Amino acid sequence: MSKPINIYSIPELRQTLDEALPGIFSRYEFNQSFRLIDSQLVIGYGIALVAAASFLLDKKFEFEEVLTYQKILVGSYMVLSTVYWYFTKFVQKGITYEGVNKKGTSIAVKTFFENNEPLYHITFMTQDDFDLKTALPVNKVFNEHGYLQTDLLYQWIGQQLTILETKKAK
Amino acid sequence: MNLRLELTRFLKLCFVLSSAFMFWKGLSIATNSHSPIVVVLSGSMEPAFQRGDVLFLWNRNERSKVGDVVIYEVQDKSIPIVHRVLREHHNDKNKQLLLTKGDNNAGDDIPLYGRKKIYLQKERDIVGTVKGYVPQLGYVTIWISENKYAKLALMGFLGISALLSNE
Repeated sequence: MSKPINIYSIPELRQTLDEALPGIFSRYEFNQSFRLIDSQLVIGYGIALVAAASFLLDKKFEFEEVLTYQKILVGSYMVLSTVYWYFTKFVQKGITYEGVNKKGTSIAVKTFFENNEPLYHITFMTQDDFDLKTALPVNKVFNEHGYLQTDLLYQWIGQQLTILETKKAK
Repeated sequence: MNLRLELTRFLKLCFVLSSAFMFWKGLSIATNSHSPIVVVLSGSMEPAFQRGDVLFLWNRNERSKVGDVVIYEVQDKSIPIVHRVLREHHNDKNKQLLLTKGDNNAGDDIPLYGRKKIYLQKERDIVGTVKGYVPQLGYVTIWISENKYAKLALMGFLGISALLSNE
């Protein structure tokens, strides 16, 4: 059972819903693909490693002794940060879930909240560029005590998947 | 437990720490000074600088001019000192010797140099020349480093805000 959250806090709503998606899609027999999140983690921890190396050099040696290494490290930090920014902005583009089912249908899901609006905007994207843009009012899936009603979310996602299927068949 | 989720959260914390540190490091490489921003700790440069003023340094000038306010560090003493250049001697090979004095001090700095030294070497001892300042902003750091209760209060405040904030 999930923890209750403060349903008036958009960050908490987004986090809870985003974290619930993989479970829901696995019930619809989608296998999650970790391609994007893994790349993001690799680049991100690369940045952290560069910074850690620079910090250690700074602790152990005098400024003048390691200046050349520090220049290289700061340079690579800037390059990696740019790559990270480009990746999240243009490659990942807010995709929170990616998965493939046994029939070979792949799906990508983008989610976002507008400021101060309890509407979970969600875009389903398939490999044939069929996009389904819709929004879920969060009071449909959270009860007043702040618990996520996973089954209701499961049913709602199911309806959207059916709509996506029929749209595709046309 | 979802490993990727935990790693993503931990990565955010890493980014906060690493961006702060790398900004500092980048600034120190750009200015060629190992500490490009310093806080004035003594009143020896009053009325130009008070205790707690934040100074921004630049160390890419070849020579210091008489009248420049410079930060220097004497060997074996880790406290940087902010004083004005009183006299300078230089040759053609970029070697420059400096004598400094605090505006508010009665005498020059020779007693501070120690070890029978009577001058500073620009290349070796100077941390940077003051190029800009913000009055009083650094008083917080003095207050925290000289008052143990302030340190505890700051730690407590950071801890509570970390607990109460979203994400």
